[in-house]
Amino acid sequence: MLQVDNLKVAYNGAAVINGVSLHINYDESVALIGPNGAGKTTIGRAIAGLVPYQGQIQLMMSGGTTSLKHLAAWAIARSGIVYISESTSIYESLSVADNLLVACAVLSTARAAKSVMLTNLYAHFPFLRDRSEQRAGTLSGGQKKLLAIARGLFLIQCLKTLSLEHPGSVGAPLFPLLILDEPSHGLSPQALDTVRQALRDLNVAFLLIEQMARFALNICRRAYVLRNGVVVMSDFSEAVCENALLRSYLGLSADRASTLWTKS
Amino acid sequence: MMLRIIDVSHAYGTVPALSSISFDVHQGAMGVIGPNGSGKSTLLNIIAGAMKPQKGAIWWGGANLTTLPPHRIACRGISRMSQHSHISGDLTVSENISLGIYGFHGGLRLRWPPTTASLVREAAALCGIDSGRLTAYPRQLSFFEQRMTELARCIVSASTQLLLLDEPTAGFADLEKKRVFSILSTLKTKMTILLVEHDLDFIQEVSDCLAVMAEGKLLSIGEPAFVLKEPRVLDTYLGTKYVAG
Repeated sequence: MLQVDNLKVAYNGAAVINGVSLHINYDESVALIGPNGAGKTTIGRAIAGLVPYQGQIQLMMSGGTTSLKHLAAWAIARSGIVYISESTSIYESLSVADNLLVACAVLSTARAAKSVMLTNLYAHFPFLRDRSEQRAGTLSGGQKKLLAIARGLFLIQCLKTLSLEHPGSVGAPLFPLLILDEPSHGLSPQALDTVRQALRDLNVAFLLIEQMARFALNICRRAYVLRNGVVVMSDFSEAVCENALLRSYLGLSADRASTLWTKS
Repeated sequence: MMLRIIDVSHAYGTVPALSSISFDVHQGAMGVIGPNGSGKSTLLNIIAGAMKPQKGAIWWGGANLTTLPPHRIACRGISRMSQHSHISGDLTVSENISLGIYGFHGGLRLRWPPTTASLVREAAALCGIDSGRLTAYPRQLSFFEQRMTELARCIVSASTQLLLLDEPTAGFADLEKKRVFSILSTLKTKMTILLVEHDLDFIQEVSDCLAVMAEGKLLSIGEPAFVLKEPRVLDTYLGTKYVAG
């Protein structure tokens, strides 16, 4: 569904990503983990069209495979790539509900369908329903983060509906993909569990860029481990966990790693 | 010295953030956990003087902090490291750290004591910053080094007695968290630390006492191992899916 080939990114001449290749299938949850400075966020930003790069990023859409290289960030979002950045970017002066609705304001999804999806989303994030009319700027830091994640999930749902309403039309997203950058940053364990449940229940394919390796390996099927801009390992999450060398590199003790698979 | 939080309440408009919260913070490290939006950061803001509570008082060293402006609170040995990075990109690591001395010795005039360089080196070493990095600029630093520069700025003054930390390990990998644990273990022998954190393994290890907040109220307080076994804490904060690992 999404294919990244030989991706290279440099900031001011300094190479940050040195030939990364990865892929995500339409129904997959994939983790991108590694230490700070490894280049994880840069890959997410490259896919979202926010940084220039060398190499190829292709997305399968109605009408064939499309290169994202020369598309503007908004066009990439329209193609079905929803990027939720690490920083909490919400509209502080808008209400919580308007922050959600603004995400898909330009999509032609039927109003009734949006309403159903909003109700569905509120079922996963009940505090957003309770505060739907509250100004988003009055939320706490963690709550703003949850709102940004919920908005991304809402957009994914709208894009999914759109692809069902217009099957086969050229340029319509086939399988929307969520790129989630560091959701654990600033969220309580309970809030993180809410996000995990929502991702699972809403059946979202996602690339999870995460510092907290335990959380990422726990909820993703496969994982890429990045170091100094290079993929040093790519395997199923369980195999990544069982790799002793990698475990010590990620700071996962053996007993902690063994509990990963019983947590959920 | 003991920090006393007495019956503190605060609301943002009609949204209550803190509702009559009271507890004492003794020497050592005290952890504060709670769901997002439970009022943890608001409490730190009020202690540091960035906000004034609508009700209640914060006592420290014989003074009611709620009557003092933030710079006067800082002069009383209270430093705060916020959730988000606040270091100046135009200053070197050494210069960024030295700003922490300014409040204590310069007042409103820009004046550093002659011991500044040694204080900066000592604080940097305590926070795990290599001396070779002191002349670097923030853009040349890793995220870990940037956050540790902020921590060093908080403790650089020998007057720092109370350190307020808001999610100091957010965004860190496990290995980096272990380094922060080691740094805080040393620091808590020199000063009182009040820290807000979401990583339960980390906060359980570093804290001598743990307070749990929910909806602006104090849900539980006591020894971390004891508090984290309380059913109401498990339900409110950890969710039903959590299994300690």
